[in-house]
Amino acid sequence: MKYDVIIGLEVHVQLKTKSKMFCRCSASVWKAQPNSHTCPVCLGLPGALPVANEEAVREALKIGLALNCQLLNRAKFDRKHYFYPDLSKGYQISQYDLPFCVNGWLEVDGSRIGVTRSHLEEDTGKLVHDDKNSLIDFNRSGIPLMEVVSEPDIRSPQEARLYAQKIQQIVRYLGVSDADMERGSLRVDANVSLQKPGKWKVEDGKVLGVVNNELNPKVEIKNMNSFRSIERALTYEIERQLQLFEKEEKLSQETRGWVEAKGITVKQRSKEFAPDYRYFPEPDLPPFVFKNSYFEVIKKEIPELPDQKINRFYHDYALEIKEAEIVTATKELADWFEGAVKAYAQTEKEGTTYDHIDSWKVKLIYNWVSGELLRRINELQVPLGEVKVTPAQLAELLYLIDKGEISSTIAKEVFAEMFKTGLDAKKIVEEKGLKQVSDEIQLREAVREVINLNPKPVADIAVGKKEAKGFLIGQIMKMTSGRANPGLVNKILEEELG
Amino acid sequence: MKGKLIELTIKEAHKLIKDREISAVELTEGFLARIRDVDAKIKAYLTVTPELALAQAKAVDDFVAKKQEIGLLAGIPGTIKDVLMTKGIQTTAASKILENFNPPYSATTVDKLLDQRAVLLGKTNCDEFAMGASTENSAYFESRNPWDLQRVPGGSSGGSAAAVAASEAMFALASDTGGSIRQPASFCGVVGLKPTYGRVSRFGLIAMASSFDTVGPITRDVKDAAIVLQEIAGSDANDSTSLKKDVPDYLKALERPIKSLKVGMPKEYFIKGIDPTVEKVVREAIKKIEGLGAELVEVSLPHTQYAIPTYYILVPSEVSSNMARFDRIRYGLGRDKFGEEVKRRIMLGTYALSSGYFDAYYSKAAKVRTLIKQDFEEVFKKVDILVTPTTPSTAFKFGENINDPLKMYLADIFTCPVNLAGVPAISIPCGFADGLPVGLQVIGPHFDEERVLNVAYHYEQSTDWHNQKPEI
Repeated sequence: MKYDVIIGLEVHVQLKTKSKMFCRCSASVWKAQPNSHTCPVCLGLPGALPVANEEAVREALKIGLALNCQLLNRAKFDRKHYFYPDLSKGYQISQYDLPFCVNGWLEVDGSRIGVTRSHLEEDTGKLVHDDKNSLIDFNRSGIPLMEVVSEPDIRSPQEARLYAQKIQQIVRYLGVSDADMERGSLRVDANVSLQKPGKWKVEDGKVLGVVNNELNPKVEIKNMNSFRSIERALTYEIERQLQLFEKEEKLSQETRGWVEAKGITVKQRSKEFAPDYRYFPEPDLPPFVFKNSYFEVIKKEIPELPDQKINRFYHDYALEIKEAEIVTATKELADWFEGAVKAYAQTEKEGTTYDHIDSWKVKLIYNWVSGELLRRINELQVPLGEVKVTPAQLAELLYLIDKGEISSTIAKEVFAEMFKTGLDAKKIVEEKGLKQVSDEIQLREAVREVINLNPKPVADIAVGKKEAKGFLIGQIMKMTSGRANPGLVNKILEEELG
Repeated sequence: MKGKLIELTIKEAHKLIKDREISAVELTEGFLARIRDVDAKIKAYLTVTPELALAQAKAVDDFVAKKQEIGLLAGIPGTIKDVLMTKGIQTTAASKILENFNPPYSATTVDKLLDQRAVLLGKTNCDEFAMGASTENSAYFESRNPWDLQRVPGGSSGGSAAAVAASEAMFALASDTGGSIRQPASFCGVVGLKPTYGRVSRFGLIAMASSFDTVGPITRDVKDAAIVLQEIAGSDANDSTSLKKDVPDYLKALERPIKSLKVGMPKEYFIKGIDPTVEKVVREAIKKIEGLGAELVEVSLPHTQYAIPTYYILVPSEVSSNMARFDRIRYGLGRDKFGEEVKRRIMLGTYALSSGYFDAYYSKAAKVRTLIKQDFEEVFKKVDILVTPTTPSTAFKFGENINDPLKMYLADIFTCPVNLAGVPAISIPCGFADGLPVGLQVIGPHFDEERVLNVAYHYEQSTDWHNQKPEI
């Protein structure tokens, strides 16, 4: 392409604190009766005053640390003025020149994307339109919202999607947000422009022209409500801008909305009419002065994050990076996986504490987690937290295979039952009589019967057609409902066929 | 007896109620009758709440009958400036935009008074959203000065000061952003106390300029001011700008000796332009304080001349922000209902905060504000207290300043630096000039209301000015 694609994202994350940002109203408003979670403060009634939610501030700082940001010792809230019916005070309490977090970065698929800043603000109410009226629901008004602004470092729609997904993953790891795009607890706006290579540079988070400061205009895209639509909208917009340039038509700096159903962006407003927000320090909230020791306390509350986990699983468990990525998709899954690994190691050593496990065993667990467990979770659409089978139970199941009590084929059947009922593998094996048959006399009987019933394959084997042996084994397994010890069956069959 | 009842101070009335010499109902009836008799002339009240007042008074009498302990404010009839939210009682900020607005909650200070079982007579008039110095900016009507009905009572808390001066209330709870308690107190010959910013909760005070607004009492004498302050002071979990600081015993502080106290006279407050008769009265009052054993020192607050311009950049900036919520959507009425002064400040403030002007106006003014604050901090290293005139003139006539905003703004010239600095100050009656009351302003260091009340009390006790009553 003749142009460099330059994308920057603004990601809004709703924090799941107990109460709202500046009042004591509950912040759990999903599907609540409209305006049932409101008070003088979040309704912006005359005389009401905001009081900053400490929990939200802590979580904001955690997000900053997780995004490798520098936390500012002095931060403050500011008022951002604009008119919109869902904005109860005529201004939004946000952060302007002294946000909580600045100068961070995120690694996405091998490239480092800069995070200019991350600040805390309050969410607005919500307009609800019906045929005749527009109504306002202020339940959402005042819910803490963290805005993460990236540097213009993103170079493709795919990278934009991955960056947004990474933020989702991190805030979920931190447990500070549901970060659900469909529910609006994660919202993404994108800025995109196409510039001639070598004719632009980035300074203080802004794209600047190198010669005469001439740049192609940037376009802001809103209304993208899924990760897929981020990628689609940006792909569409880049193509639209390219075509305009090819036709030598003028591109204007504007805000465009993504229309999911049509797969296009449409103009919402031009930047010339962009509001002057008239920021000034929020006089109702004293500025924050943080000690470094406070930051240290917060730092200790941050759990191991996905990148660190992937790295550790790669080194400690010899998983491939791709495999580690799969089992660390969520913190819960990673914990489940690791729980199973540790339990398996303990089962193996019969109660001794875990210190080492063979890599092939880790791989075995990986196969079960990424295969049987995730397949069922996806099929039945149950969250991991509601899955009945525990990591220790999986370890026990695998131990039964190791001891030769069941075959891996039977194990899958047992696992399905465990998933359904939450019962121990041992119990299911006993109750359903699934225990592997390793009794030589019993098995020899079955082998002889199969040989008698299948003279043709037996003859084939005699003339060297080895594949016929597989057929006979299959018949033996069938006769024993799959419970026959495969090694023993093989040995007896060899003997019987001479 | 009725005539005398309404002239009692809080302390006196409390003793009589407690000893069952009078009932709270009797006292309240006295005030309601007084309001009926004179408020047509004074026009202090926007709303009178007789049923509520009598029910509250009755409850206090029941309490006393059961020999239960009552606080100093129990059964004491007072009024609330209409910028403080009162649950279930119309609160308009004297603006048409809030006509018929019935708040679902009360200001913290109002709740504190109600907890003390004070009796609420009603809501008093003021300039619209407390913007003004005469009540001429009230969207409803002008209140009149009880000492001369042709003159303004001052503002913005003009209705509250006039009510106390005309014995239509024993005390008023009001707000002061640039002099709105002290200037009308001075014009009406009563006591007005502006506490330190952060000493009294602002929760439920309809914001004018959030970093300046304070809530304080207007009373007959200094002791009453101390009593009301005692009840309303203290940190509030609903107001992040209220300071977590112990509230001292203000009544106790009154009696402390003031001998050898260093009293500063800032030279910038005795300048050309001040009415010579006012200056004369104030200088005599200061001499009196010297006579009580205090040491007079001339001091300087060098940035005083910048106070008015600084104030009138920062205050409108905050006003433009605070008024933004009145956008027709939630309160039903549109911005066309705003009066001239409110619109003027919205425009001034919007301009000062606009991109391209912010640094030159808002930021610069914020820096000057710091210098003015430092002036006070420096001077209080040298002296214990400052004394100044409250206003450069006595009450002016209706219409005299209303078409000249700048002239009106100068009525705050001696009071607004105090709000820029956030320190406490009181205005107390100190004599008359051509038959009109003159106020003496006593300014103290941050959170030292004790010292302010102490000096004011000693002066007051050596004079008779606070016992003078207007004839209506």
